[in-house]
This record gives sequence, C-alpha cells and structure tokens, in this order.
Amino acid sequence: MRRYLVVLISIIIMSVSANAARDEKFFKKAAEFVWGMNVPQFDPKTHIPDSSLYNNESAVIIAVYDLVGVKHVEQTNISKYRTTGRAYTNATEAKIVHRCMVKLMDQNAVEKFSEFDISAKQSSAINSYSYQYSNSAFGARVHKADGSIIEVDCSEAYTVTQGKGRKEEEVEHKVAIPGLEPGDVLEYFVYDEQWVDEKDLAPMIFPFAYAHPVMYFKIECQVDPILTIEYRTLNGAPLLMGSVMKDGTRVLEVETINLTKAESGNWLAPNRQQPMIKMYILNNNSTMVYHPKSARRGGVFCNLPPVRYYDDISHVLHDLVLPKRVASRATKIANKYIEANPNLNQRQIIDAAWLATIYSALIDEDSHDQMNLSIFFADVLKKLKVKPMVGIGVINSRAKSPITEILSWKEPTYMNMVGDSCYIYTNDLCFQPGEYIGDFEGEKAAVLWGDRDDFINISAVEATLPTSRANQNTFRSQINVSFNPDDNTILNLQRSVNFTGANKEFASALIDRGRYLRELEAFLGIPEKDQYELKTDSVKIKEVTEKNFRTEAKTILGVEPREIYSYEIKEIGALPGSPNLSYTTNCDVDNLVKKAGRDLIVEVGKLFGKPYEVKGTERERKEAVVRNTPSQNRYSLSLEIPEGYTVNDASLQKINTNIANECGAFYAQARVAENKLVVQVNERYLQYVVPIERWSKFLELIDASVAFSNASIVLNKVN
Amino acid sequence: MALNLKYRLLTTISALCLITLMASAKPDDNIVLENVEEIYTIVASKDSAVIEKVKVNKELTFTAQRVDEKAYATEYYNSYISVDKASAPGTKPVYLSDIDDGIFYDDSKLCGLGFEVKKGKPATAKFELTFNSPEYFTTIALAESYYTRNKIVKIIVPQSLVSSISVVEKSFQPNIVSSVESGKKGERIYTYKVTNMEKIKREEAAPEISAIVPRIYVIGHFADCQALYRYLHAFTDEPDPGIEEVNKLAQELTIDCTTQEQRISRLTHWVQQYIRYIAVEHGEYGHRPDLASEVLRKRYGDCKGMSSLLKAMLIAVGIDARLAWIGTRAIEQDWSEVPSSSSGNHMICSVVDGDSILFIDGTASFLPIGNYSYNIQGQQALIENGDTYMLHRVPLQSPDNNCDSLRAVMAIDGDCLVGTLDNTLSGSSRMTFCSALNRNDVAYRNDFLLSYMSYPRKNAEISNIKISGDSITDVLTTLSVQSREHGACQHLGDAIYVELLPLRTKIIETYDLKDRILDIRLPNPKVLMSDFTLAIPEGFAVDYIPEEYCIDNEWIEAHIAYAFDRKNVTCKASLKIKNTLVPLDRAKEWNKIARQFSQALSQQITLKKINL
Repeated sequence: MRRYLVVLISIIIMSVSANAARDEKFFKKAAEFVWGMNVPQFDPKTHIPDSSLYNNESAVIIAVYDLVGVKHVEQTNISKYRTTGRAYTNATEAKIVHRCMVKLMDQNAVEKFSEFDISAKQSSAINSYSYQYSNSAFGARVHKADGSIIEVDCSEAYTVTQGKGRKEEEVEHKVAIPGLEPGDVLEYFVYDEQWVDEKDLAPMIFPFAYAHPVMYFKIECQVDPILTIEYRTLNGAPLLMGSVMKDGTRVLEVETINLTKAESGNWLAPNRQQPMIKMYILNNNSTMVYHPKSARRGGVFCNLPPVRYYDDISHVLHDLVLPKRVASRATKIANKYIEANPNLNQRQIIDAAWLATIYSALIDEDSHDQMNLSIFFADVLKKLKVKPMVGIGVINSRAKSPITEILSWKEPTYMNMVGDSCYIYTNDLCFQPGEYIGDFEGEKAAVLWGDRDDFINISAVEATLPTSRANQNTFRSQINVSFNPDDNTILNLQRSVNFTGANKEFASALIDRGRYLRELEAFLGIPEKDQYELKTDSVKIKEVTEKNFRTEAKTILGVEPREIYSYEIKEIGALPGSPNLSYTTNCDVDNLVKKAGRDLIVEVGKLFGKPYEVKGTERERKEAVVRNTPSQNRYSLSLEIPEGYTVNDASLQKINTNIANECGAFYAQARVAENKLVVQVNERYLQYVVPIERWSKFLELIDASVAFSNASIVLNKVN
Repeated sequence: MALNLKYRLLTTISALCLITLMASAKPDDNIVLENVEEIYTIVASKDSAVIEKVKVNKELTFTAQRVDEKAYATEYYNSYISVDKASAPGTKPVYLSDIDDGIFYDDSKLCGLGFEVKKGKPATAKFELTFNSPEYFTTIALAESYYTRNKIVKIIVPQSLVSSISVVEKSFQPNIVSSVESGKKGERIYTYKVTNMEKIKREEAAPEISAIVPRIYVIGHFADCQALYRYLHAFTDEPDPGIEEVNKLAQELTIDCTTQEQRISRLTHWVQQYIRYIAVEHGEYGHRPDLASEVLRKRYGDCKGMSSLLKAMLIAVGIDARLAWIGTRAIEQDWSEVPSSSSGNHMICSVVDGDSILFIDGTASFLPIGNYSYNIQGQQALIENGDTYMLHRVPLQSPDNNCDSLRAVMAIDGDCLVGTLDNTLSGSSRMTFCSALNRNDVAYRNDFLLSYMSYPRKNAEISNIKISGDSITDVLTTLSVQSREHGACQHLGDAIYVELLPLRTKIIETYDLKDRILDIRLPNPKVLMSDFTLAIPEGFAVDYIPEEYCIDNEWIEAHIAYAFDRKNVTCKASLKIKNTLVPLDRAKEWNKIARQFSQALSQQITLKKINL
C-alpha cells in the first residue's frame, strides 16, 4: 500500500501525557490560517506549459509554499520553577506551514497523493513541567475539472493510538482524500505548531527538487530577533532575501519557478548534488541546554564561513566531560602492550593505543559515539606521551555535505589526526588503525591540534584526507572451478576472496563482533582472565554467518549457491600488519552450464559478480557519479577442463576484452594452461567522483562489465 | 480485506519487528518455550443460551538453553478483544498499534512483553484476555512463535452450552493429542496436549500460515450457516440515503449498453478503475460494508465497499446482483464446515441469472469478467438470498485462461539475436503485468517495459515499443518490440551457438531445502507459450538442435520442441502450472524437475558452416 509521507519539520519526542481525541478546533484554526493566505500562484486553473519540464509526468506540482513563523516566549511558569528553580520560560514557539498544490495527471498520481499520515499531538514533561509540545493539522481540498471544490473533511481522519487505558496516546492521524480522480488538482497543507523550552527546534531542510517538477516555490521565514537563524544555501540553491518588520521580526524569503524534478538512480549523493537550503533556528540564549560559548546569539547568519563552526566545535570539545574509565582502561592495556613489546616505533604504539581505545569503548557499560571515542583516543595518546602531534577533528563523508558547509557542531563525524595519519571509527569491524571507509577519502577535515584544554584558544586547521589509488582498494577473487563428476551441469567453486583498503567495507557484515573483540584481545595481549565475557549464542552466530555467506554469494559472487559446504574467515583485516579481509568458501552452483549437443557452454561471465546494468532513462544523466573510492577488482578463475572436452579457442578469444579510458579500465583475458581454463578479469575505477562530462566514459566501463557477464566458454566434446 | 483473520487466530506471532522472519525452529534454538498453558473459559449469557464472552488465561514459560537472551511474548487485541493483564519478570507491557501493510486503518493492536531470560532460569509471561464479542472467538492456533516443548490448551464449555458448542480440528499432526471430558459442574473440557511443536515460521514460496498451522475452530455461537448469514447480512441492511446518486451514475454509464454482459462489464470496469483500494477495518467495519453512495463519494473503499457499490450499480440497471462473502486460499475450510466469521476474509459481488452465478471481484483490476483470480477459485462463497443464503463454489478455471505467449522472429547478426518480440498476455498474467505497469510514473513506464521485455538478457537493446490492450476494459494486452540481444550467439570458427531462451518468464525455480519445514507453494496456475523462428544465416546449416523435452506430472506440463528446415529453426515451447502444492517430502523431487526444466530451456542450437 502506498502512502505519501509528509516529512514534517517536527521534533520526535517522548510522549508521556494522555491526550484527548483529534483537536477539531486546532484543525479548524489551521485551515482558516492557511486557506486565508493570499498566494495567487495557488491557482488550480494554472495552465501546465507544454515543455520538456512538464510533459510526460504523472503529476505536476503547481505551487509549494513553506512558511515558518518563530517567536521567542518569555513568561512565568510555576511548574518550571518548581522543577528547575527557574521561573521564566525561555521558549521557542513555531508555526510551520507546508502548503502544496499538485495536478494529478493519471491514476498513479492519484494513488500516490491520496493518503497522508500526520503526527499527533505530543508533549514531554518532567513532573508537571512541560518543556516540549507539538501539534500538527492537515487540510486539503480537491479542485475538480468542472470548477467545483471539495473540502476534505478532516473529521473523517483516523487516529492511530498506542498505550492502554489512561495511558493511551495518539501516535498519528491518517487521512484518505475522498473523491480524487485523474485531472483533479489537489491542494493540501500540513500545519505544525511547536513549543520548546530552552532547547532548539530541529533543523529544517527546504529542498529545491521534488519527485515531480514544480512550477512555483516560495519560502518565507519570520523569526523573532532574539533567536539566531543560521542557514546555508547548498548546491546552487538561491539566497534568501532579508528584511526586517517594524517590530524587529526578521523576514527571509525567496521565490523561484520551474524547478526540475530530482534525479533518481545509482551513484547519487543528494546532499552534494540537489539544491537545498538547510536552516537552524536556535535559542542560543538558553542556559539550561549546552551551547558553546562561541555560538551566535541573535541575528541572521547566511553561509557563515566554516571557521565559525570550527570555533563551536573547539568549545564543545573543550567543555565536554567524559567518564575517565574508558581512557584509563585503554591506557592500561596500551601500556602493558608496550611493555611486552619494547621495540615498538611510534606508529605501532599509536595503532595499539587506537585498538585499545576501541576495545575499551566497545566493552564499556555505556555506548559511545565517535565524538567520545575521539576524545578518549586523544586522552590515551596524551598519557602515553606519543611524539607526533595529536589532534581531534571533524569530517563529513560524501553522503553528507562537505565539512565546509556544516551548520552545527552536531553534524559531522568526529575523528583524530596523529601526525599525518587519520583515525576514524565506524561500525565496520574490518579497518586497521588509520584506515576508514572510502566515503571519507579526499574530503576536507578541520582539526584542532594539541591539548583539549587549549582548544578554545586555537583555530582549527583544515586538512584534506589523502585520496587513494585504485590498487589500494582491491577485491581479489580466486575461484577454482570443477565439474561435479556425476552431473556436469553442476560446478563446484572453491573461492578465496580478499579485500584491501576501503573495499573491505563491502564484506564487513561477515565479521561478528565477538570475533573482532577476541582478535583485539589476542593482539593486545589481554590475558584470558581479563577478557570480556561475550554473552553470545554461538549457534545463532553460526546461523547468521551462514545466512551472511549465502547473501555474500548472491551479491559478491553473483549467483545463488545450490549448496554451501564450508566457509571460513581467514583474516578480518582489522589489525596492524594484517591488512586483508580474506575468507574462503566452498559451494556448488548450477544453471551455469548449458548443453549444445555434445558440447558444453559454461557461463563463466556470471562468476564475476553482478554488475549494475544502466538502462533506459538512467543512461541520460545530469549529475556526476559519486562512488566511494577508486577501486580495483581482480578475478582469477581456473576451471578444470573435464575429461573428453577441449576449450574452443574461438570462444576463448571472444572473452578477451580491453577497454581503457580516463575513468578506468576493463580487461579480460582467457587462456588454457595445463588443462585448465584460466580467465582473468581486471576492473579498475580511477575516481571516486566522475564528473558528468565523463559519464559516457564511465558508462563504457559499466557496459563492458555487463557485457562480460554474458561471457561464456564453449567446451567441445573431443571425438 | 475485511475480516482480519490475524486477531482471531490468537497466535503469538511476534510482531514487534524485533523477532521477524525467524530462522529455522530447531530444538537447539536458544530460547524455547518449555511450557505453555492456555485456558479458554466460555462464559454463557445470563439466559445461558449463547456465549456471552470468553476469558483466556495464558502462561508461557521460556528457557534459554545456552546464553541469556531476550524473549518476546505478544498477544493481539482490538475493540472486541481486551488484554486485561499482562506480566513478565522485570518488564512492563507495551501496547502498540499493529496495522497490516495492506490495511489503511484498523484497530489491531498488540500487547508485547520483552524480557531477559537467563540461561537455566525459566521465566514466565502471563496474559489474561477477554473476548468481549463472542463472534470474534473463532480460532485457536496451536503453534507459537518459538519452538514449544509442551503446550496444553483447554477449552471449557459451560454445561448450558455443551450441546451447541463444538470444535473442528485442522492440520493436526501426531504430536497433538486431544481428549474430552466432563467437569464437576457438567462442563465439557476439551484438552489438547502438544509436544515438540515447531514454531510458526514464514518461508519463501510456502502456503499461507493460516491455512496450515494446526488449529482449532470453536463453532456453535452461530448454530449454523443461516445464523451466521443473519449476523453478517445485518451489516448490509443499512438504508443508503445517497442511493439515487449511485443509481443515476449507473444508468448514465450504461446508457448505450444493449446487453446485460455489456452493463456488467461497463460498471465493473468503472468501479475497478475509479475506486481506489483503501481498507478501513476497525471495529464493526471489519464486517460492515461502506454504503454504496459513500464509496462513490469518497472514490475509495475496500473489497466490501467496492462490492457494495458494484452491487448497487448493477441493481440500478436491473441486474440481480448480490454480495458474497468468501475466504481466499489463506482459508482452508468452507462456511458449511465451520460456520464462523473465520471462514471468510474477502467480499465479492455475484450476479445471479437463473441457475448460473457470475462472480465479480471489484479488487481484481485488469482481470476480465468471468475470469477469477486463483486466490478465490474453488472457494465456497456465502451469497445473499434475501433472508436466507446460498452456498456456491467459485469454479476452478483452466490455467489456459492465464496465458503469457511470446512470438519471436529472429535473425543472427554478429553475436546478437535481432528481431521482433510479440508478447500477448491474458488473464492473471495480464493482470499482474498491467498492475505493475500502472504503478510506475508515466516518465518511467518505458523503463519498466524495457526491463520487462529484455529479461532475462543482460545488455539487450529494446526499441520501437508498442503496447496495446493495456486499458482496464481490454481482455488481451500485447507488447511488440524490436530486440537486439547481445551475447545470445557465439560465432566460433565454423560454428554458431545460439541460446534462444524460448520461455523467458521465470516461474520455475529450485528452493533451498535446508532447514525448510513447510510445503512449497508454486506460483499460481498459468500457461507460458512461445513460438520462435530463427532464420538460419546463409551458408549455415543446423548441426544440432536440442532434443525434445516433455514432462507431464501433477504439477507442471511442459514441452520444448525444436524443428528446422533449410531456412529456419523453429522452437515451440510451453509450460503449464497445474497444481501449486508440493509437499515437503517431495520437495527434492520438485527441485530435480525444476533443474531439468531449466537445463532443457537453456540448451543451445548449433549451426555449422556448409562446406561446399
């Protein structure tokens, strides 16, 4: 069932109070407010121009209007006083309206736009002090082709609840739009009221690309001057024009027309490619919720230089107080390791310290995020008195905006620099100290060097993480293939697979946490009596691992195995001196050997992964290709030629492929050696971002890979 | 639909999304149910004539065999079933909404208890529930969501109801022992002892759980089908103040129709095309169809609403149309066997013409009138007949009605097969295709067609796509494309190897049998046919064509035959799925058949250069 989920700019909060049924008065007030807004572009008779932008679309959005009104509220509050000792609220009150008019061209669009889910009233409180509240209303009307208008009666909405008895609370309201047909124009709004004391509103994102083209788009924000507005225009989004009302309210607005719809497909990074405005409306005057001292108090800040946020980060890192036990335990482990290994160089000491820190954090009773880990690691290195300079920094992966475009200290990934090495923790348990997922490479980081206590006195220094070469991020697969002696349509595959560098991410799901911890303990020399007690079910782990290897065969090998006989992870790739993630598997596959009379045709191309085929409209692309890392895949297949058969030389030659261009290469070669068919394939992608000008070259490589997946070898029966 | 079977099944299928599609229920699962005791106490009304309510007490004792682990116990409830108490050590119950994916809104909820079970230390969860409306007390499932070593289910029928209440047992296995005894107060106590019961498990390509899980139907609240009919029919008797609008529209839509068939077609297609399926099933709306005029106004409804509207429209133009309650294949029993609301989960319309009955399913868009979806074929329908009812079975239909036929005229061009592909679809094959096509935005429909017509080839170029008969009123849909299939041929010296792939829709496959505990349910009966003509390139002759393949067993009938003359190689292939159930003990046999079929399909033609 399809449901059009309206993305609300509302805070997800814990609901502890019982609420009454859907608030009719609130819905009515919202409808009066929104329908009363005079925005002439919301004209259901708007002619949809005959243009490539709007032709052949299931729906055309005639107009979108996002209105945000935010006030600061200071008033006495007895409940707050009783709970906190503070008598006055320091609250942000927001009204957020998203109004949309869309022409539905076909039944598909009718289905898509016919159901809405709206958050129910929610509030949070400590004792009787309510510090957060939100309520949402929905309204809609259907403009028929004959000019008549159907007002959607929201009293027909259904309310989903959870809880029981007096604790039953509303979760959401569900509205099904009645009377909708192709050719109708649906006009709807979501009206959101929020009240939050001392805290900030959640960040807002105004996208300039929707799933359908947009004829008219307007944003308008009216914000109390005591609050701080910080926003960024990303990926070519227009600036907001600013003005001030008589009462000092700040107004920011922009209008634009003819927005193309968002591109969809593979290898996209919306946060880097789709125009949007990201905005925070902050209550930096709050003294009950932490704000760094450098935070801006009041005013409008557009596209602030990133150094302002780096300053915030330096304050946050300086101010944060963490329990000492994690760093202490890690230091102890590291010291013992150093003692046991007296000839370690600095790098080896640092790497051991990193592993000790991760180990200590993972087994701790509390869970820790990357920020905590980066602080722990810096503390450990300080205690160990390592020689290289140590820094704590921030970075964003390519899935997010670059670090130079952050809008809050809460957004980025926290990491460490030690000398020129970078240490970033992710949940992939396969990276050595100093290794990380490909999405970070080539990205800018902002680093604060030295002692955390001095951070507020220094500035962050930008650094760019090195980019790797394709041959540093490799996938190697060696497959020995033999025919089943009883049925020559079944092949047995003995595979030896190896990942290095950032490519290890693709197989990280194969490594379970228990094994990872045990390997760390072995490396760090933690005696058995001090080792962490793993409370895991080995039977379940075996089941899960088996299931993972079945998935591995489907995704990495590219075929569903008929039967898996064995699998073993040889190395997890997480320890110094052991950079490979490697494993072996033994399985049978069928459906790859076809008969042609007395001859056999072996679809060897299907044993080289499952390349993504770019088809149809996806072949016309507007945005750059964003991958995670330059990479190289090397396959080597050795197939035992069954007795009585010989490899058809011409089919062997057909396999040979050699394509090379500025995006990379695809090379395949087949030969016969010692009664074995040997096929070698080398795939190389040189960039992690391929500019759109090179799309056709990139596609050449993808197409070659897809074409190769069709490759087959003919084994002629010998007379 | 409608009569949401789930909460009547009273299982402990955990829906907290924390235990989802579980691994095989082997006895060496860490968490097992050591003991379950489930007691149903039927409470008679004050005049002792009927069931007033049913009280349920359930205790589940979990053990962890190897390590400490969290266990989850859940019970469903709704407007008619209440959870009065729920407890487990160290936890409080959570009460969550649990609406199925296919339902827009209903009142289904679940009460969940998640708690730690320490190794070697059993922990017990307890529930007390009440069925406040006995109409909803229909089914007791004997399997749980964990492997169960021992389970006792007792149903206590008070003396006053002993003569009216009975049980029907379904899908029982030897590990279930039943007994009946009389209690001290003359009550009848049905006792079921279950040992070593596998957990409820969803597996790929398996029959519906509700149709195979060992279960007990408690019948008698409705004395017979007539009583049940009276109850269900009462929900349909509400006067419709807006019926004139419905009548008017029906007459307008059929103004140019000259036959009854035309009127039926016109109105059915209109409902299917313009009424969206949105299911609202809370409370009595699980049984009560929406008024026809309301469905018309809202332009949406569920199967009951659509049937209600269609019935009203047909009556407005003089056709004897009636509502029919029916169970899909998720329901194994007939109304006549188990006269209870658990025997139905769907509603359709029926047109009575003398002795013949035409069934019309408003939710089955793109299926021609007179064709029935496999889901209801063979199922017993409870049809309105004034104060009484009729029982009539939806006829089984030949798989030939659901045909996917491919005609290809191809030639060899380098390593490509080039030519035209003409695909004609009827019945459920058409329904599936057209529904999928229409789910795509207009801008992406061509991409869908490209993918569809190029399957299973990689690197196929499809062009000049023509489609006809894809509207809801059509009976056949035809797709015609130009195709260039790279890699389909191999020129190797004097030989050309050609892979035709004469049947391209993948419906026969092997299944992973490791740890499987359920039978296999094959795809719905249908027919695939193809007729390929491949031009032999000049200077070449056929060296080898694959042998004829023929199989005819209880599940499938398949035939692949190649022939050739000087100019062309032809291949005629067909596959018919006749019977969809493969018992588990024959699953290996099925896999062997599927492999053989797949091999036969993928055999290649060899052409050799003519030596002059």
